Amino acid sequence: MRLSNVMNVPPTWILALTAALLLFFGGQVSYAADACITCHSDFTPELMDAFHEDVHAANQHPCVGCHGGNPDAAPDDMDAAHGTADFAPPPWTASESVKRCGSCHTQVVKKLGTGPHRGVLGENPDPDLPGCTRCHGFHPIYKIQDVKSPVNRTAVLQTCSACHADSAMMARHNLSPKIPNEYRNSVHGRELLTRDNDAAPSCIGCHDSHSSHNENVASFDEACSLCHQREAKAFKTSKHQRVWELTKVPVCITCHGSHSITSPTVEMLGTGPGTICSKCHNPGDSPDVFRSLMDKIEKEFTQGQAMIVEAQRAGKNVDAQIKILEQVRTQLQRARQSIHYFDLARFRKEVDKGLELSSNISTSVEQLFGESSCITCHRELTPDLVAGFSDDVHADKQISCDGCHGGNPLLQDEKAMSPEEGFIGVPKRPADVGPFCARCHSKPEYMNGFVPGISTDQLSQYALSGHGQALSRNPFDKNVATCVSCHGVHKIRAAKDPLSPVYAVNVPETCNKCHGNGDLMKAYGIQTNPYEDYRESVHGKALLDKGDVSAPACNDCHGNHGAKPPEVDNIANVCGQCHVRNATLFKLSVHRGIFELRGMEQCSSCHGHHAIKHPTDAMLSTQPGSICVKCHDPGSAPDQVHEMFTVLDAKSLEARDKLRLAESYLVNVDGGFVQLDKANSEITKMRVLVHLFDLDTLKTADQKTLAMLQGVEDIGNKGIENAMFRRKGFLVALGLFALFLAIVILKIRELEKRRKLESE
Amino acid sequence: MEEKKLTRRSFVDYLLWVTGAGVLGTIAYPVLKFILPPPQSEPNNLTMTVMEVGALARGAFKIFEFNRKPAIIIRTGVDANAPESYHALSAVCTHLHCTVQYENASGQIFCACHNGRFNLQGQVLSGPPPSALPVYRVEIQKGKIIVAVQGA
Amino acid sequence: MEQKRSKLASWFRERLPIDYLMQYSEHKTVPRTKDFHWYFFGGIALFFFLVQIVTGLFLLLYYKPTAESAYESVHFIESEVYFGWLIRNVHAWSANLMILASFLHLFSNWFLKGYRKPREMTWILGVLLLFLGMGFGFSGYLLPWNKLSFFATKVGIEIAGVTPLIGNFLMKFLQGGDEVSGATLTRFFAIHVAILPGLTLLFLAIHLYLVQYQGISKPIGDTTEKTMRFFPDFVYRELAVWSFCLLLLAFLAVFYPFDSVFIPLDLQEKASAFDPTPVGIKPEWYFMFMYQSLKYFPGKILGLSGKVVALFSFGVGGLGLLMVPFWDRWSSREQRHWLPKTAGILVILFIVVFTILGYVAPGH
Repeated sequence: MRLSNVMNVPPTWILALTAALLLFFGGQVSYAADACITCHSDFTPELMDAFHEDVHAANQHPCVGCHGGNPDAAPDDMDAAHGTADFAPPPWTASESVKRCGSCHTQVVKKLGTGPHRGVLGENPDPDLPGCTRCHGFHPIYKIQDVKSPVNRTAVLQTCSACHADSAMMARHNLSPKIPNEYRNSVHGRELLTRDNDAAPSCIGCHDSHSSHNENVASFDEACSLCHQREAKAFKTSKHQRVWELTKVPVCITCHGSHSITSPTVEMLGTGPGTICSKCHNPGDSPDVFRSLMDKIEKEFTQGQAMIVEAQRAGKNVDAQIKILEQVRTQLQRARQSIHYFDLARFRKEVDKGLELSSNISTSVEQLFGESSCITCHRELTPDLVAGFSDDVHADKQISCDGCHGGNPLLQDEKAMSPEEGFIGVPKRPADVGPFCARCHSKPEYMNGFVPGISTDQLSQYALSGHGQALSRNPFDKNVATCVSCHGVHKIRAAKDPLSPVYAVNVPETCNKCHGNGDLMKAYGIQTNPYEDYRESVHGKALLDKGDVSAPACNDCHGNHGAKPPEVDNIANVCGQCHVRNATLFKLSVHRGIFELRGMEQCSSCHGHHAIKHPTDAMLSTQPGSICVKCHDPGSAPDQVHEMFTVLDAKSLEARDKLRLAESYLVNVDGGFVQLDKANSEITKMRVLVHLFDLDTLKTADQKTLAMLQGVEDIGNKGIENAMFRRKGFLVALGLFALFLAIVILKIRELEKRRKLESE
Repeated sequence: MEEKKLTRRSFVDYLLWVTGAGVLGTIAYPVLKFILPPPQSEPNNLTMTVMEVGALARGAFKIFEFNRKPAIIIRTGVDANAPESYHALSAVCTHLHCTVQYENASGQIFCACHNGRFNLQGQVLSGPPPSALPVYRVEIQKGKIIVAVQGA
Repeated sequence: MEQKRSKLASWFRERLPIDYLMQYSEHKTVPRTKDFHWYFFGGIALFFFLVQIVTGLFLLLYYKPTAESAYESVHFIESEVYFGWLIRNVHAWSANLMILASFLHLFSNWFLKGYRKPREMTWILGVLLLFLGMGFGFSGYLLPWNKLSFFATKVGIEIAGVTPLIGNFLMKFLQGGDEVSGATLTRFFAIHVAILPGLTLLFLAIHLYLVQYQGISKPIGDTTEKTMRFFPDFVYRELAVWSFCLLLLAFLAVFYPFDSVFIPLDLQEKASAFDPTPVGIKPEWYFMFMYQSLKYFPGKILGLSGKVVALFSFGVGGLGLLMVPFWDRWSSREQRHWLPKTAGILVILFIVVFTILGYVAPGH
């Protein structure tokens, strides 16, 4: 059932048609009955379309306002419409357009009459001169704020350039056609056109839109001062204003240029080549002073900026410094503006203000890095020292220069080093170095705060040492080792730091720095060259070649700070720190008393001081080249002991070879090797037992060891017997196998014979 | 009935069988001995029976061969049957490989060569040894003290 | 007595094809040609293989296939177990002699052209058996877990890893991980004791059956009709040869313990993964020619890695070896030709020269 039938409404297609018609006609411009519009809508529809955006479009009878004519004429009656006296059809000449527009816009035309384009108002104006429409356009004439208007601030350059960039036209009027381009490249042009900066002036910003003054130079002052008020004000009170009053120069455009105004730079200032002041001023005049001051503050600003960037990169919080920088920037701007006073004293004041502000930046940035003023200066004066200090153990503990040398690092320059601030400086005499360090290192209550229980007896020990005693004899002796000679200075590392000169492995070399210098040592009556000896010794090889830090360095035997060769009858105690058994036995032996009586050194009489090598049996005899021969006669106890060891060593080797032989026969002699190890340990123990210097004890041990070795040899022999037994067994098997083989061959032979017989 | 004559052929055959049997016997003997397990039933690099319970007095120690190297077993505890009473470690000093010993008075293991000292857990107490002594596990089974490598 | 014996015999007779076998064996013959003595080498290889099975089984009673205990268990066998030294050394020597005999068997068949129709399959199986034998050698070499075995295996696997495409897979498979370790030992043990024996027994059974079924071939153009009864004539001779081999083995085991002959003292120690590869690690002698000749390949050939080219060449060589019956077309026509003979001589020369060079050449 159709809707139309049910509801009795017109059918849909009628509705649709109606809507279409409405739309079609509704979209048309409906002017109030205006003959011009009615006719021209058909006649020149594009024109009418364009006119919508015209600023005059809302007027009652917009066409007649400019063109004249009769709007009430009947449509299609062109004669009636066009027949009035004031009818002025286009095209218009420039003066025509001025007249027409001027019929309403009277003020503008008046203004025009004062400007360089006023010729257009005359009777036969130069065709070059523009009328209203040349600049404002027509049909539509956009509002000047409208971006589409040719006289909108962004478009006006192009509009003016239409003539002012035309070389031929400009040549006719003696004007430069380069001006629009100059403006385009100027700071104003760039700001306006590329940065869209509303503050920047277009052509009509300086040249009034209709009066376009350019002849009255004073008007330029007014033009510039519209925006640059401070500078203009400054200028008006300056000397240059008075000069200008007399000579009409200089004025803004004299120094800054008219159209090609670029951002002023410091290079403009001064009397050097390329500067502006040099146009009037001679070298040496005040502009030079201005220039140097300007340079100074600009440099300070750049430096401050760089420092802040560096600090920021190091992760520091530079908000406060950035604020100061902004203040400096503002002050810099103010200084630049104050140039226009052309008053040196005033300028200097402004610059000084800026300098002071920027100096705060550098100090505050330095403080961010925790630098003391010591470091600030000494970084330039003694760069290596400061660079090394970051590795120093004191730096780690936040003890800086003043911790040792006194003074106040918060104060600048020499004030930091004043005695009132507790400045001590460098110890004057070598003998003062110890007490210098001991100011802290001897105080347990202070040192415990860093390392609980750390030793604080260094100075007292040192006083007893060979070094300390030498200094007590001659406090000015530069050749004596003090704290800094071994520990270093300004790069002192902890003793357990492998890079420290007093780390175990480095100690011999450190001591050798002086003790290896023969001439130096001669003066103190020290004849030895310990390092070379030590280097080849068993201790030196262990420490320096194998890196075994349990091996003794110089300080382990001589002491750290109380460095002194041990007393003759204390040596056993020193060596006995590690070689306990040897020392204990020696102290129980007869040699102890004898050595004491004869003033002979313990341990080192036989083993040497520094060149302690692995002891050999050759030492232990009365043969030439041995040690015992120094006191013992040939054939006495040492020889017997020597004999013991010779036999033992030989037997040990014999036993080992036997075992190896048995093993090569694949007999199991594992037990033998273990026994051999035990026996060899016993031999080593016996060598230690030598230090008791008691023949009977050694003899007993010798018997025991010989028995053990015999046991080992027995095992070896048994093993070899076993192997021989195997071979015998094999021979039996071999015999049997051979027999079997022989029988088989016999059998084969017999079989062959039989086959032969069978085949015959 | 044919007389069984001792022909050359049968003599050779007879010899063949006899010597063949001999050869087989020569092969069988080592084989049979082989397949019967020896007194020590397996290699002792991972575990070994050291001694009887009660063979070690309190405070005493014994150096024994374990995996062809010296090892030390120490009894510190009262109960001879409890594994906790014993400590077994490698006896090879980690400094220069001397054989260590136990000092009951101090309860420390020490090395006579350069006075290195270890505690009963093998840790270095003083002296030149650079590292600890490896510790072995002690177990008591059927009245015997058994030492085993950790994890075995 | 006789009655009882024949009763027992007849009990089996009624159930098993004993009659058939006895008849067959009575009629089986071996051609009595002038190269008759070469026919023994197959049997010799078989003998050594049987010795391996027996001694291997015995060793299994005491060997422990883990990195912690392998070395100690071998030492235990040699030092504690009664006659362990004997069984172990016989096993080690027999392995080498088996491979030597296999090579001799292969070359004798090459020159006598035993592979020609209808015996192509026998040849192929034989070559495969040789490869399996070398596999036995390679896998068994690791089991004592001493320094030499460890590093020789490492080097060997690295060479295998050069194979393009499957190289990495092969390495991982052989190593049981990313490097030679206890996992490798377990794998090699399984390969040596189960996988390879299974395959070998299968191939060997077919190979022997074919030999029995097809009989021994005569050289080309040999028209002698002289034959020898396989049973018992040839068997007795085989027995003599085998007992001589046994003798040889026993002699070598007693007088030349394997480790002290072939392994320097320091390399006899237990393997440790932390050791650096010692200088002068050499593979077993039957791999030496490949290992040494590898060193003469330049680093890069026509843009390809030298090692890959070398491996490829060996692959081609191995394939060529397998396929001898097929590319020696003349033999199937009962014709002699210089090519297979020359090829054979060249191969022998190549193997011998490079094996010698492997031990004598300085450097590397």
